[in-house]
Amino acid sequence: MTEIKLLQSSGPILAVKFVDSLLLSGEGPHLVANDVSTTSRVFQKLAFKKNKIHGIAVSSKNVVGLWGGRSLAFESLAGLLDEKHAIEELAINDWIVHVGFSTDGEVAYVLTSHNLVLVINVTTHKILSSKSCGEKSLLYSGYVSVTGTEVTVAAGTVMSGIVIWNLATETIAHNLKGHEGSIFGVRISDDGKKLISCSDDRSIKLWDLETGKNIATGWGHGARIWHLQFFQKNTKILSTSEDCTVRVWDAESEDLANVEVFNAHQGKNAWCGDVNEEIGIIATGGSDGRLRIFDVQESKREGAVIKQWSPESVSDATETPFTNNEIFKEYVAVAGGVVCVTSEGSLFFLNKELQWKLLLKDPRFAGFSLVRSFEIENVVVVTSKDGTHLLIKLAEDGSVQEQKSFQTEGLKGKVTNVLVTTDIDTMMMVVESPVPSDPFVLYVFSSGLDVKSTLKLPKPDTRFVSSSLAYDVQNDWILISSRYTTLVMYELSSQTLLHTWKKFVPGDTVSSVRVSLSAKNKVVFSVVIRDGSYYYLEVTNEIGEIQSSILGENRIQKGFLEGMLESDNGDILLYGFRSSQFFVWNETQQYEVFTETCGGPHRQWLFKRLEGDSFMFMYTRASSINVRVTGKFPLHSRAINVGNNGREIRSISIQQKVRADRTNLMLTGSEDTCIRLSVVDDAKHIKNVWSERKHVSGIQKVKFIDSNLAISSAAREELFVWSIDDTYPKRPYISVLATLAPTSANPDLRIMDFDTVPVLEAEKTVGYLLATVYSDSAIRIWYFDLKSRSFKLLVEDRYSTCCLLDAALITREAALYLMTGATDGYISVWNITEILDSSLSVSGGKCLLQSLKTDASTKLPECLVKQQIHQSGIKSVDIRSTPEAVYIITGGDDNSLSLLRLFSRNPSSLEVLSLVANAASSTITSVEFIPDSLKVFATSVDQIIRIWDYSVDDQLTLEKKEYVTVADTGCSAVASIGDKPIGFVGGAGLSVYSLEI
Amino acid sequence: MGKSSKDKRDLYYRKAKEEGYRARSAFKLLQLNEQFQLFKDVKRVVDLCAAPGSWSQVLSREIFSRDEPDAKIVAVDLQPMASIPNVTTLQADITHPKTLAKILEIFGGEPADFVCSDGAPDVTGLHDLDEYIQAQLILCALQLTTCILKPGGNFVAKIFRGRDIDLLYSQLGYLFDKVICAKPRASRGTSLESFIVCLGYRPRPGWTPTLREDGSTEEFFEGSGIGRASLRDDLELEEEERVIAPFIACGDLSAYDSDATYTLEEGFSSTSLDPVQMPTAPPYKKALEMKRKGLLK
Repeated sequence: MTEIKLLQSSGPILAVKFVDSLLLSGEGPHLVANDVSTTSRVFQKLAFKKNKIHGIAVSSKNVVGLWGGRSLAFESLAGLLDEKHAIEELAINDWIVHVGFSTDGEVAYVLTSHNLVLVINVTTHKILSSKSCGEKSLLYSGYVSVTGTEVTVAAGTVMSGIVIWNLATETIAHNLKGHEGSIFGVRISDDGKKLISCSDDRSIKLWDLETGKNIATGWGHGARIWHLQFFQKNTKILSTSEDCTVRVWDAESEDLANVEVFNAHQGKNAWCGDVNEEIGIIATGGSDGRLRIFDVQESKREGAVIKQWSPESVSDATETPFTNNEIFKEYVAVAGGVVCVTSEGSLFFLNKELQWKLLLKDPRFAGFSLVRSFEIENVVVVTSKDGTHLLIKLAEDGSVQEQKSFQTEGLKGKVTNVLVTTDIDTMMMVVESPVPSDPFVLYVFSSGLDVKSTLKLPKPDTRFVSSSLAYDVQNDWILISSRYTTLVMYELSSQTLLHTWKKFVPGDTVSSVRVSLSAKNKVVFSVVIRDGSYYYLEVTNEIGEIQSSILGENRIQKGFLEGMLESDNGDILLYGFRSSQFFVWNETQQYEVFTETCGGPHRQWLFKRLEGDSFMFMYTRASSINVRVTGKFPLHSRAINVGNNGREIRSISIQQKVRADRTNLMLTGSEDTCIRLSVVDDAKHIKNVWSERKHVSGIQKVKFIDSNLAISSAAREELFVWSIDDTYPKRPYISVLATLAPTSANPDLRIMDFDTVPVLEAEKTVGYLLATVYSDSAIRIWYFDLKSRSFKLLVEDRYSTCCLLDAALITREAALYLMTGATDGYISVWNITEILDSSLSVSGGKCLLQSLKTDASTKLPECLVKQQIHQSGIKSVDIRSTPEAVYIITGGDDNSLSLLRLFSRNPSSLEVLSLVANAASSTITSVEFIPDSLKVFATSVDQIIRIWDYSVDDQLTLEKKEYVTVADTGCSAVASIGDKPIGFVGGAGLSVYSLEI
Repeated sequence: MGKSSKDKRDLYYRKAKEEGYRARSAFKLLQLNEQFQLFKDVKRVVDLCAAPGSWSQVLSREIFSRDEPDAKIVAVDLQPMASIPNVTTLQADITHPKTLAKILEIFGGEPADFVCSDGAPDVTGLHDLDEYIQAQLILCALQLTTCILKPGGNFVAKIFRGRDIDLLYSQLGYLFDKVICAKPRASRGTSLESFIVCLGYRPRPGWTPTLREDGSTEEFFEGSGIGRASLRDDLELEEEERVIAPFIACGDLSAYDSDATYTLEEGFSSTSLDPVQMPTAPPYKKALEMKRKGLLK
């Protein structure tokens, strides 16, 4: 018995609703409940066969009302919590816009998109009456408000008006006009007095329902607004938008002041939100399948600080007179607080109780001084231009416990920078002058503040302006970074320069280097470049020479990076500035965890991650010191679901190799231009590890071509070869191994598909034959050489003028074929063995490297086969080679599916074995042979996946079909995982199925 | 995308501008006509959701070029439309009985031979909602069509081949001899857009279509027996009838491919042309202005 069993699904979340600390969310057709206080999933239940849950409401009797499309359900919370209880799906005959409950919870008011209200008994499900105000224009939004016995309907029409009508009298109270475009959201305040609305015009309007007058209009969202809601006794408004932000507005201000902006979701659309007033949090859901939590009571949390001090206020508090021009210079964190030096050489200490204290005033540090700290040791070091250093050890109460001064001697230049190690307990400091012949002077201190050793490290023979320092204890290596993306590494004990990386990547200043992983003769450094990119650089000394390679690389979408942290669970946190804001971004989970509008990067600042997922950010603005500490976040996590790509997934590939921990790697490519590398575990849970932003246009295809190599292609003629390093248990790393340069000046050309065949030399893979097909009908075949990471063009030709959609390289015993599919519905096959002959040969079904020709590329020979299979575009092709023949399955834009055979009788004929004209009611976007079977997996835009069998007389017969909740169903991958075929289906979401055949 | 890169990517866009059509969709109707001979012997045509008017332009050129002086074309849209030779434009609501009366008046009380609609709503990104709204738009067009189309007449409308398109195929099958899903080559393969071509109108026996002011599409088709979901007393979920309509790709294979990238040298001089008609102001025009001025944070 063939079965298709849903294992996991993620996709747009259209409805969220709090019931105390239980957060209900509509995830496709499933109702999911999470306990936010523990971040644990309480249940997941199928609510509707097909329809997605668009709304959730809860009655005074704790009956949960669910709706979506024309489906509807009423279930008691107790029933939902009962594991065995299944949700009963009800339905009406029209699209449901909103459901409200009567005060006693006995009756539900179901508003349809034709502005009709069905009054339904919640228990018996009987329709009691049908109400209408006579105005039946189509609604995009609506709200049924119940205050006492008064039931008011707000109907947001497609025509810019909002009709307010009384249910009992079926009469129109107001027709609110003022918006432009369709009304996408309306809400009535719980006292029934006010209404908020939003429309295609991107504004929020507040209305007085007694007079029907527009009280205020707020602007701020950069795209359409989908959801609105009052909270805090109708003084605040929550909005969620297509622009992915979630905003809080002051309902009492004249023009609805926008008081908070949260960057909530990825790609497009924050669809829904709800407020839990008791905990003081907002939950939101988006297209990216994420469930985010935001703190709206941050300033009231334990440990929270928002404070500002002018020089005058510090002067007053410490009874220390400031001179006229005295300003705060640098500040550093120590164990007990913060130490700040002023332009007159005064050192102040700010303790955790936010009290200021003067530590000392030393005129040697007036004018120019640098202050650094060894935080773990509670030690501060102040340095003057001429190399005078003062080390100060602070007691717990912030008093000076010990201080020692010493001088750097023998430098020709002034001291311009001091670097210290911050994340280890070894107190190490590097002093730099701008004179190239001056060495770096490195000091190691004892806990008694004595200089244990002084080392002189020669500067590299290149422009070098130091910016950051990392020390690896295990190998005794010290890495110093510079501007001009240059790095230098020394062995400390021998004071020798081991290696210099000159301009090792594009960009300018390296803002931070850190030791990420360390083993004997092997270190992985994280290197952050200010312009927004970062790298994992693996350095080894295993064969007596320093070797290095970039394991991982990525860049942020927008902004400048100052540094990187790794949280306890291995998540990567990046921080930096974006226009006027400082931000902290969880790169692993892809969401922002902290932002502060500080005015931009050109200022003194100090950032620190505190315990309990809280952050401290201190900065100078208009000569005052500002500090914000977020306080203890009330929950375990800022995201309950992390979700997947922000836009439609266009390609999926599963690594064939099973990893040591029984997981598999998966690559997805999406319209959001991201390539995501994820780990698929035993239970087929998908955990995203990397979201690569190398592409700048929507992905056409991504595919593993070997266990540790992948290729992705996109519009703008982008094609990258990716290397995936899976040797470290901490996480797999992904980096670009090679980039195929565009062939034309036409920026619109898309690489629609590609295929590869490994090329061997002495039984080792030395490269790949790569066929690429383009939107302008071009066909190219390249040899990609692994060692030199270069592409050599072997064949260049053109199919016709129509867009090519598919490419496949087919290896037979002693021949190699290229097959293409195009928008004209034709399958074409060429025998390319002869034309490649001097470069490559084919023997025993393998491609062997001969001598690569140096002359220009050749054209394709005459076509072996050119045959129309579909009426229009061939959307997907899969190949299965058997010793006797090659089987081809194709899926078309014309809803048809065909099984073809090549080479079985006549070497130049393509046999159509089976053609199913109406194999789906919409475009078939993906077809695949299921491993170890005579079955095919097909995915189509009608949101149905089908398994076809061709074991009897090579005829395709439908064996099983199953509805998928993923809309815009566009791609699939079938892989044998744990001896079972697993189907992955992507589109506006991602679902995983076990194919039990 | 800049004007010239859109020209490059989209030959139909370029061709539309060159031939004076207001939108590239003109070629879709031309290719549909090539396949189905939709304009043959047609004298009275209603073009619904007609703005900016490229289909009416095609209808006008094709029908009046064969010397049909008494032919009548009515183009209806809620949006204002610039005038088109030999076309009566009505700025009106297609669901309103007055609009129906007005068209009948223009036709001198005679029924229409052909009704078409290239209308599409703004999409929200909620695929199920967008599909529902598109279906509603087609039902609105179909309401008017059942009131005005002669038996045996044809109806063509834009559809998006999504999850529930087979419900619509099934319902249309009760009203027409033949229902075909057609994809002209001028419509991009990457788009879900197709056209439902309904040939040979067959009025439902015993059902008189009546357009009422403020009546919903649900009410209109009540009793038509075309297999639409009904409201059951016990709210039980009924499975609706679904049918897959045959698919026909139309337009010559040698016609331009709307998915392909062309180099300008292949067909055109490199000067970019201005669009025939500028787009109308969007509802969010003010928001865009505020953003430009830096008033949105």
